[in-house]
Amino acid sequence: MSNDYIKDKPIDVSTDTDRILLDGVERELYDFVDEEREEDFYRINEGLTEEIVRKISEEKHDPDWMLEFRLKSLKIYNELEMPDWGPPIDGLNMDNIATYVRSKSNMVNSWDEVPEDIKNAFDKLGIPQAERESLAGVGAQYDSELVYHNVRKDVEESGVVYTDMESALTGEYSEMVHEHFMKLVPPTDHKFAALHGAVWSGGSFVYVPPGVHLEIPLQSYFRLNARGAGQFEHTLIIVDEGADLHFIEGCSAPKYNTANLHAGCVELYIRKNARLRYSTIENWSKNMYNLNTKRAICEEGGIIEWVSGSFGSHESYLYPTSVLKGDRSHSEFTGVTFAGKGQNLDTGAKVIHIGKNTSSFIDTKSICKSGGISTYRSSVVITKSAEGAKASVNCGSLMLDNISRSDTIPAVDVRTDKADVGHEAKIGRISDEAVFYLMSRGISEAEARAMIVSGFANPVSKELPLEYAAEMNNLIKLEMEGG
Amino acid sequence: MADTLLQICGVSAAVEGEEILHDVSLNINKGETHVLMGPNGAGKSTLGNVLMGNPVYALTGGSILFDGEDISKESADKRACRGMFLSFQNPLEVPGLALDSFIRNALRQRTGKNVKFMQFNKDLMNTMKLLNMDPSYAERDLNVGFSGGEKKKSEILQLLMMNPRFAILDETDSGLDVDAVKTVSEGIREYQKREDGALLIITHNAKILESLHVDYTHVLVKGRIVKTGDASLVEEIGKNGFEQFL
Amino acid sequence: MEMTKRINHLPVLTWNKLKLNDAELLINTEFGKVNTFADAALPAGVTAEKNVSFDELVRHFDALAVSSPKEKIVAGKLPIYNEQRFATGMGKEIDDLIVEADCKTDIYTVDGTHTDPIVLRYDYKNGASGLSSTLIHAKAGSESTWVMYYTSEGKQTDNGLVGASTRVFLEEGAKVHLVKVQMLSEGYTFFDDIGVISGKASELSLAKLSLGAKRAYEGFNDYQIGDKSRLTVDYGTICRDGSFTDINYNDIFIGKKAEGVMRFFEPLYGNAEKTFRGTLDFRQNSKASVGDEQEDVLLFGEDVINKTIPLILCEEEDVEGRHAATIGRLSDEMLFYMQTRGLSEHEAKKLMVRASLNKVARLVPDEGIRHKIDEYLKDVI
Repeated sequence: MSNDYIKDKPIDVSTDTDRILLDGVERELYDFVDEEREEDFYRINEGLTEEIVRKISEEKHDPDWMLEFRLKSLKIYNELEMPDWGPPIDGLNMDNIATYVRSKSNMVNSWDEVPEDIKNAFDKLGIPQAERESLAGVGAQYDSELVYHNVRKDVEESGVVYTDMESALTGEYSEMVHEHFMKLVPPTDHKFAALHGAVWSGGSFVYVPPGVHLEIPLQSYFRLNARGAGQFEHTLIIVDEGADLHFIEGCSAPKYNTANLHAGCVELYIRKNARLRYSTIENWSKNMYNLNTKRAICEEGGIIEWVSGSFGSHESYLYPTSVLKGDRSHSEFTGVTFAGKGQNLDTGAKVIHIGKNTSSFIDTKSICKSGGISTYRSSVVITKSAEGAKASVNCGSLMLDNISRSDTIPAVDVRTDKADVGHEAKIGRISDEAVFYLMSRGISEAEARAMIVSGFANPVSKELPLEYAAEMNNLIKLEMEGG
Repeated sequence: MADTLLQICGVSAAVEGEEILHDVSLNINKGETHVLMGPNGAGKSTLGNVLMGNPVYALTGGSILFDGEDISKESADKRACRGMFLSFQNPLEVPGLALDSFIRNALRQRTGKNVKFMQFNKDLMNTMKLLNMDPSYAERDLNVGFSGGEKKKSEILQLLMMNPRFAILDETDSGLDVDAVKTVSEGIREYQKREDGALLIITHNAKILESLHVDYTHVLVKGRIVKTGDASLVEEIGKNGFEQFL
Repeated sequence: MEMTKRINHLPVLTWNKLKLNDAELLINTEFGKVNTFADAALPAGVTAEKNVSFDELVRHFDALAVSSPKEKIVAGKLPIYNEQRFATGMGKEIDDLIVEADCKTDIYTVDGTHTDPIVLRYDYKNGASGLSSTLIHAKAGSESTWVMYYTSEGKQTDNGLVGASTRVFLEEGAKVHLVKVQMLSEGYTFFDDIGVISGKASELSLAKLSLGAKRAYEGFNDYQIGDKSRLTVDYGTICRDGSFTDINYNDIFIGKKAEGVMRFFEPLYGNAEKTFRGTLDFRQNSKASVGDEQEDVLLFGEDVINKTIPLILCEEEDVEGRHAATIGRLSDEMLFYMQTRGLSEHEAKKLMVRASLNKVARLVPDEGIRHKIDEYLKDVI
C-alpha cells in the first residue's frame, strides 16, 4: 500500500487536546482504526483517470454497458464545474483519493466467515447484535465492497430481494437494475453524481414485490476504513405497488488526518400506493467529505418518509430529494444536523411537486457548537401541474455559543394558484429559564443543557427505531461534551 | 315535524384520526334554546365545529340535516349562507379590516343584496349600544387589540347583525368578568326574542344561563350525550357538578 | 444608454438552477435631467444641499464617518453583500448607474422634531424617465417624516424607467418615518434602492406601497449598528397580470438589543412573476437582538410564478430570529372563521387583499395621497 497520502496537506480537523482525550474514551465507538494488513486488501491507486475507471470496471466484472456508463460519467465529471454555493471543497483533491479498496475475501452470509478484523469492527458497531434482535436483513460494506449480506428466510420467501449491487447487475434482476440505475440521479445532475457514475462500487439492491409489507427494517451499514480513500456505494430500492418497506442506513469511518470522500448515491422508486421509510444515522469521521446524493420518486399515492440524522463528516452536502410525480403522492422529511468543531454541514431537502394533490412536510432541526457551521438549505418547487399541492416547511436552529454559525436558506417556487405553502423558521438559544427549571429539580447544568438539546432533536429521534434513537441521543451527548 | 331546524343524526367525528364524538344525536327546533354542558375535553367544542363544517374535524359517521337537507359535506360558508352561525371561543384578528366593513361584506355575501349604508350604520350603532361597546370599535380592525371581553362582544355583535336562524355559541362566557357576562347574556336574550332564532349554547358554567330562557340541557361526557333534561338540569349541575355522570 | 445591471444579490448563494441568486435590470433609456420635482417647503431645522455629485456624496460619508461595516469572509458563504461604501439593497451597480448617468444627489439634514410630513413628489409625464438620489441625514435626537411619492401622468402604456436611490443615516436617538408610494403607469419600470445605517437607539419605520409599474425592483439594506436601534418595515404591493417584481430586503443586526420587524404582503394576479428575498442577518455580538419577518402571498392566477427565499444568517447565540411565509391560501383557521360568516374562499381572499394593503396605506400621513391610494385600490381590486 502506498504511503504517499501522509504527505498530503492535512485538513482542518480537531487538534484540541481535551477533545482528543474525550474522543479516546467515547468516540472510540466509531473512530477506532482497524489496522489493515496490506496483503489482505486490494487497492487501486489514488487518482481519477480513464485507466483507473477501466480497472475498477474490470475488477468488478461489469457488464459492457456499465463500463460505457462509467467512461461517459468520467467525461461528464471532467466537464462539470465544482459547485460555487456550498462549503468550500478545495481541501479535497481527487489525486489523493483511492477510489477502490476492497478486502480480498469474498462476500459471505455468515458473520463467522467474515475475516476476523473486519468482523471485530462490525461487532464494535453492534451490527450482528442488531441483526439478531431487530432486523429483517443486513448488508455490511467495508471500504468499497460488501463483506456480509444476509436476509431472514421468511423475508426472502415473501419475494423480497435484498442483495449487493454487484450480484444484482448480473443476476435475475439485471434488467430491472439496468432500467433504473442512475436514471433518477443522472451523472449530469452535478459533478459528484458524475464522479459516482464513474467509480461507484458496492451498495445494495432491494426489490419489494407488490403488496408485501415488511414489518421490520432492512439495514445496510457502510464502513469506510481505508485511509485517503473514497466510498461510492450505490443503493437502488424499488418498492412495488402497495408494498411497504423501512430501510435503515448507517455509516461511520475512523478518523484520519487526511481527507476521505463519500460520494454515494441512493435512488428510490416508490410505485403506486407503496410506502418507503428511509432512515439514516450518518456519523462519518470528521475528516470526511460527504457529498452524497439521495433521491426518491413517488408514483400515484406513493409515500416517501426520510428520517435523517447528520452528525459526522468534515463537510457535508446532503439534500435528499423527493419527486412527487404521481397524484396524491406524499413526502415527509425529518432531519437533525449537529455541527461541532471543524464541521461545515450543509444539509436540507428538496421536494418537487408534479402530481395533483401532492403533499410534503419538511421538519428539520440544526444545532451548532464550538465553531461548527450548520446550514439548512432547501427548495420546494410546486409546478404548474401540481394543483391542490400542499407543502409545509418548518426549521429550527439552536446556537450553543457565539463562535459557531447557523444559516437557513429555504427556497420556495410556486407556479400554480391552487397550492398552499407554509414556511416557518426560527433561531434561538437554550432558554436560561429552562436550564434553571431543570437544575432546580437537581439536574446538573451540563446535563440540563444536553437534555434540552435532545428534546430539541426529539422530533427526529422519535421517528427512529428505539435502538437508533438511543444511538442518536448518545451522539448528541457526545457532541455536547466534546467542546 | 314541521318545526325541526337542525337534526344531528348519529354523528361521530375525529381530530387527527382520533375519534372524539361517538354517535351523537340531537334535534333542535325553530326558536329553541339548547344548552350543551360537560367537563373539559368532553367534545363540546368539537360538536360545535363539526356542525359548522370546520375541516380540521372529520365527520366519521352519521349526518347533519338543516331544514331537512343533508349539509354534512358542505363548506362552512355555504352553511353560513343557509343561516348558521358559530361564535368562536378564540375569535381571529384581521389587521387592516375594519369591523364594520367586515360585517357589511359578510351580510352582502349572505343575502346576495347590497346593504343600505345608512340603515346598516344605524343598526350597527344601536346594537353596539346594547352591547355596551364603544362606537369607535366599529372602525377598529376586526378583533385586533380587543380584550377578551371585547372579542366576545364582537362575536355577539356579528350574531345580532347577521341574524342567523341557528347559532352555536362556543364558550362565549369563558374569560369574561361579571359585568361582561351580563352584557353578553343580554345580547343573547335579544337574539332569543327574535322569531325562530334557535341556539346551541356550549358552556361549562351556569352563570351565563341565569337570565336566559333554556328549553333543553344536554350533558356530554367522553363524546356521548349521557343525559338530556330541561332547564333545571343546569341548576343541578351547578350544585353537584358532573361527577354523577362520569 | 443600454446596459444590464446585476442587482438584488442574495447575501449567501444557493443553487444556481433556482435563479434566485440575483436579478438583472435592463436599462434601455436616456435619463432626463430630473431630480426632485416639487421642491418641498422645508421646515426650519431641515436643510437641503442640492445637486451633489457622487464623489462629493462619498466625501460627505467621510465627513460623517459613515460606512457599512467590513464584511467577514466566511468559508463557503461568498459572496456576502456587494462592496459599497454605504450599502444598499440593490447593490453597487446602482451606484455605478448614478455615476454613469451623472445623477446628482439631494442631501437633507434634519435637526429637531418635525411632526408634519415632508412630501417629495416625483411626477413623470408622458413616459419620461428619471433617476433620483437622496440622502437623509437625521441628526441625533431628531424626528422627521418623509413621503416620497412617485407618479406619472399620461397613458397607462407609457413605458419609461424611474429609479430612486435613497439613503438614510440615523444618528443616536434619531427617528425617521419614511413613506414611499409608487403609483406609476402600468408600462413603467421602477426601481427603488434603499440603504440605511441605524445608530444607537434610533428608529426607522418604512411604509411602502408599490402599486403601479410593470416591472418593479426593490432593494433595502439596514445595518443596525447602534445598540437598541429599531427597524419596522411594512411593505405592500399588487403584482398584476403581466408584471414582474423582484425584492431584496436585508436587515443586519450588529448592535446589541436591536429589533427588526419586516412584514410583506404580495397578492399575485394572472401571470405575474415575483421573487422575494428577505434576510435577517445576526452578526457576532448582536446580543439580545430580535428579528422577525413575515411574508404573506395570495395567489389569484393560474399562471403566477412566486419565488420566495427568506434567509436567517446567524453567528450569535443570544438572539431570537423568526421568519414565516404563507403562500397561496389563507390559513385554515382564518378561512374557516371567514366562512362561518358566509364568505367564500375567493371573497375571503379578496377581503384580505384590501385589509392587508389598507394596513400599509394607513401609515401614509398625507390625506390627499391616502385618498388617491383608496381610489386606486378600489379600482384595482
